[in-house]
Amino acid sequence: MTLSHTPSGTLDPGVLVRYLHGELDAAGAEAVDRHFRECSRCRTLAETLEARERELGEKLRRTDAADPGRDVWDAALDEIRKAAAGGRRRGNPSRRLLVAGVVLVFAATAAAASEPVRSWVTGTWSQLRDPDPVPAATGPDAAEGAGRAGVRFQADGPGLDVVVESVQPEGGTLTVTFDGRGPATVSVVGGGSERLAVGERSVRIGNDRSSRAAYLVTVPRAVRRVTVRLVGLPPLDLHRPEEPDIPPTGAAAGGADATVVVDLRDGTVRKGDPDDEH
Amino acid sequence: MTLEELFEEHHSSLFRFIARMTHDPDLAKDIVQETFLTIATDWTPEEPPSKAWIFQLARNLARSGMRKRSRRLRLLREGVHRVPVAKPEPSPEVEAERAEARAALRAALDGLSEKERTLVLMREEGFTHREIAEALGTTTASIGTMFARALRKLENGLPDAIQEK
Repeated sequence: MTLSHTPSGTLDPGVLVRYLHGELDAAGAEAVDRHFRECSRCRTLAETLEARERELGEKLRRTDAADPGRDVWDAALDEIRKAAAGGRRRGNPSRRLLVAGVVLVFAATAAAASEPVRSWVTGTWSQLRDPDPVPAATGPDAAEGAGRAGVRFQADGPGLDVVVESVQPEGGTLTVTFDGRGPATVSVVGGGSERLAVGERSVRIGNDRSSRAAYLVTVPRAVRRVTVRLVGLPPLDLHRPEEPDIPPTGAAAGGADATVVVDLRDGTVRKGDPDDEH
Repeated sequence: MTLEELFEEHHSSLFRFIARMTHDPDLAKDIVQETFLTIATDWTPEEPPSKAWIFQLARNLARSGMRKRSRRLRLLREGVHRVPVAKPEPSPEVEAERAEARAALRAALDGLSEKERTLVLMREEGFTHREIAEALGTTTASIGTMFARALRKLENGLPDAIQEK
């Protein structure tokens, strides 16, 4: 086999990859082996390619999403068996799962905003999408009683956004996103009357840089209400230094302004009290 | 081979592949199910589809699924991951680091062309060059060169390894 070289004199990287992947025939692999015995540059290049591929694999595995779990796959297999048996196939799972979505964006203006900040929940709420339009609401009371299925609110300007999205009837999918400054902790707690163990998810938002992250929380079907709370640790200071007359908002954090309760049964959203009984 | 056996053999690697391609574990779960629902409606035990065919079907479904969900993906922003219910969770600091590493890896992979990304991720799932070439509609001989080019592009984009705590 004649081995092709690059203008710099090394073996064609494509040939090296084929060699590393075992894709060369016996004669080709032997030719590369012979070349390696005479050319350390090509040997090093091959080792580099091999290391890069190994590194990629390691990083993919370390950052892989968690497997949904046996319950999810068993449920999927049930549907697949039905389809194979000629049972009535349901529509696109994506469409089925997206029925009756509830979307809430709970936003607070952070220190990065140009406007002075007076509480966690400020700013203008503008309605982005609603099959049954309601007037745009403004101010911290906007979230109270104003949410419904399919409605999304977003505060104008940079801030801390919390997106709560619920999908029925499979249960809920809660997406909590943050884009703002802290320090702060967001916890997501859910539970029906039985206080099921959804799990409390705390995310710390960095106080020295803008934090952006999103967390997808699966809410079991029996859970009907989810509470998203913002808690300042230590007390929050969201006003700019040049506005000393505005008190820190730490006292408000964790209070009614920083709590939103989503009822997954009817999609209503209201401002909540951290002592709310689920 | 039964349909269940086929599912058990491929669903994990298929989920992993689609989740890596789409950065959306929820979509990946749906795509896996939809893929096998499609297979189930025309299932013949004597002629089970090949792994390459299954992945190609899933990839096509993922493409159409991603177009429909493009708005939702924008809303989800960076660093989305799934939090399993009632399982022990790492500390917020580790999760934050993971989210950052995930975002950087995603950015590096997004720097590849769609074909390069598919090639790299299919290779991670153990496909041969011939199978990958078939999926991409190209020649087997070109796969090595494409792979080398993709690795070169990824070289500067991969985040530093995160330390397991």
